Amino acid sequence: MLYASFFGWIARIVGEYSLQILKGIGITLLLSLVGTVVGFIIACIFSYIKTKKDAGVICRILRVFVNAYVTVIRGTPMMVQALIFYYSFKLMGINWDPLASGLFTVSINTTAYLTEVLRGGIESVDNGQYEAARSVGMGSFQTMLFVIYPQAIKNSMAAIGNEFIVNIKDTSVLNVIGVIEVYNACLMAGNKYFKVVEAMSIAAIIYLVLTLTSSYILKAIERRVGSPVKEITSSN
Amino acid sequence: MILSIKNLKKDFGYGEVLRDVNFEVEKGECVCVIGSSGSGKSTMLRCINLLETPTSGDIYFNDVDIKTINVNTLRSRIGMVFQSFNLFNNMNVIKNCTVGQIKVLKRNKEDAEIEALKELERVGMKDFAYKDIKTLSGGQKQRVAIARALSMNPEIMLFDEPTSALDPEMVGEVLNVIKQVKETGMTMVIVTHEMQFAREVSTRVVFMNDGVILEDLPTEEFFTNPKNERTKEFLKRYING
Repeated sequence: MLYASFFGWIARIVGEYSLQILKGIGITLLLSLVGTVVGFIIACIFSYIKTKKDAGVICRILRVFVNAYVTVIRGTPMMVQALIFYYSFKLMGINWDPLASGLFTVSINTTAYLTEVLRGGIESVDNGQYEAARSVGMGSFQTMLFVIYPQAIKNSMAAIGNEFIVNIKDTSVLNVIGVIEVYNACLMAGNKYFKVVEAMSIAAIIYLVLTLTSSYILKAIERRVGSPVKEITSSN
Repeated sequence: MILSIKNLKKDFGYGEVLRDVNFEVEKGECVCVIGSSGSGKSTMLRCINLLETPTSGDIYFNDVDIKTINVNTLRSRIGMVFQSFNLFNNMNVIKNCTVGQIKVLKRNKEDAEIEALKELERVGMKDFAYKDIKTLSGGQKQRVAIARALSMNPEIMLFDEPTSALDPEMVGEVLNVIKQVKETGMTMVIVTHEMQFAREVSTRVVFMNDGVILEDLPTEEFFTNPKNERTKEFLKRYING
């Protein structure tokens, strides 16, 4: 009775560790949500630096930094980043807990991806929008704030939502610095009885439920925000 | 002199688009700029509100060198209407007409809306004030774009081929609105391919060719007695074609 024992073990692990697993779900959601929100806010600033027209000297210097940042963060695994941040801050005398470090890591990581997402969103807005705004006398910042970003963000909604879903799954690597999120909570529960497959099946189902629910909610939000603003070539 | 252009040159890096353009507009004038594609008409217009930076030469707005004016202040005094309308897609009709007033002229929302509705009424789009941009036809969009520019109470209006992106049956409604704006005494510079319209609406016509102004005459004289051979050739093609 392999199946009976398989599901039996799952039931037993879930029953025994329900509180820890629930806490893990909370931590996973917290990491993904904070990471995506913080990442989005910083990405708004970074993408502005990246796409600003007639940029001055300061902006160009900042642009070099942003480009380097995006290249390094996107080119290295989040697990490696997590370990570097966690221990290097400790070496500098900042004694932070794994969760704070995890939130920091996932925010830093998401910023890099969303900067590129927003840059694409900004570039997809017709240049005529920019020219029209400048022609009524709006400054570069006003133009971005009132005309370009609202359209760019709307155009990028799907990709931003996708980043949140990726974060739900990818925050599992934060177990290396001791964050107890879904994966780590399930692993620890399973380890007691050496039941890795059972524990990971629980984790898989939780992740699947979380990502499916999120994508359903995100789709609803997208519908509410409306279809992407795109220039319709024949406007007649 | 509301507008005066002296020795204007523009080089995009692949040859000069404008070679020594000299051009003046007096208050209340309506000047049509015509010429074949690539002759530099639009570039000249875009240099006036600094959407293009001139390579060399001087432009004076109310006898003041525009290099000495804050660019945003300058642009708020100059209304611009584009070929492709460029209405703000993220705003409805009235917001398109108020955002500049509120953010640039620092008017309060109520005053801005009163002004916007007044201008929308003038272009016959008052009933569409709270409609989404997406629901409008091309002609309606262009009329809103004109109202948006007028809402800023500019001293001069620039039109960059305002009917070139429109279906033939929508050209008329936009041209009528422009004529109406002219009746109010607004100073206007219109880049256009509509010869008949140019003849009806303008007080003066300028013919551009290959980056220079070849002909600059009062409207009737321009159409009946052009001096330059190239102008004659151009007009003949239009009249025959």
